[in-house]
Amino acid sequence: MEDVSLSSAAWEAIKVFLTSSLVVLGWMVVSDQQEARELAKSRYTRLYAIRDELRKIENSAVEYHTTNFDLAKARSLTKSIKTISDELAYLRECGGIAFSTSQDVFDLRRSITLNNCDSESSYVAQDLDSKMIVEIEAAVASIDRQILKAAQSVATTPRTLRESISATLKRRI
Amino acid sequence: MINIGKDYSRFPAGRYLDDGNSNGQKFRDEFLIPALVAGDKLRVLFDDALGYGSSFLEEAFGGLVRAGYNKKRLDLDLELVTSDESMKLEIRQYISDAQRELGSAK
Repeated sequence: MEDVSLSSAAWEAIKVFLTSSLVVLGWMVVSDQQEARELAKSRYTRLYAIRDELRKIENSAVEYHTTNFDLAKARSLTKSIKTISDELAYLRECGGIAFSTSQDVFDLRRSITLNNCDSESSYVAQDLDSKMIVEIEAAVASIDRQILKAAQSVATTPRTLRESISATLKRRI
Repeated sequence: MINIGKDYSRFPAGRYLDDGNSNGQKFRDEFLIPALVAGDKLRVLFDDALGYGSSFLEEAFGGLVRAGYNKKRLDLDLELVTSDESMKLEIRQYISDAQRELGSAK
């Protein structure tokens, strides 16, 4: 008789333990899924903000190269390109984007600052359909396409249950 | 070692001497070449400057090839230290392009 009740008590304890563990795990998974959703939202917003910044750079660069030499504007463009480059590199580092943007940023910087940015004497106002302007627009379009793809991927790729359980166990154990 | 942002200018810009005090030609002639002549590997740090124009990069580094340094030697002796991979790519491209132009000019 005693053996049976011990066995019953042990079994009850195991059931309670298992149930509690499932509840805790479930709570952790829900919490992880929520965090992942917030992170995806934040990355999506950031990617669209970068698209806006790119458009501003493009507009500013086209205006600069088609109107007149403006040292302050040229410097501002150079700094803006560096900022975009840093942001894209950071996003890549933290997994927000999976692709390298090095070549595209190189093309962007070169298209805008290789010529016409050094001095008033060497500046030549460009036509809107000039090679320089077309290259600027192409460089911006190339980065923009990739960022748009990344934003769509972030928005439409859900975090699976397996990923949540795996991440939860890795974090807690 | 040369830290461009601290040793030369926070905003290096322009290609030639006429383009201002922080131009690429001056940086090449007064900083890069003397450091390369001194021997050993040269480390160039980029991240303390506020940004770089491509004309500055091309004149400073592509110009090294035009000044007599070949690409092979620069690949060995010139270390580019920056978190911006696009800039490393760009500089190496200017060095390659300058080498190719020199080769086709002969």
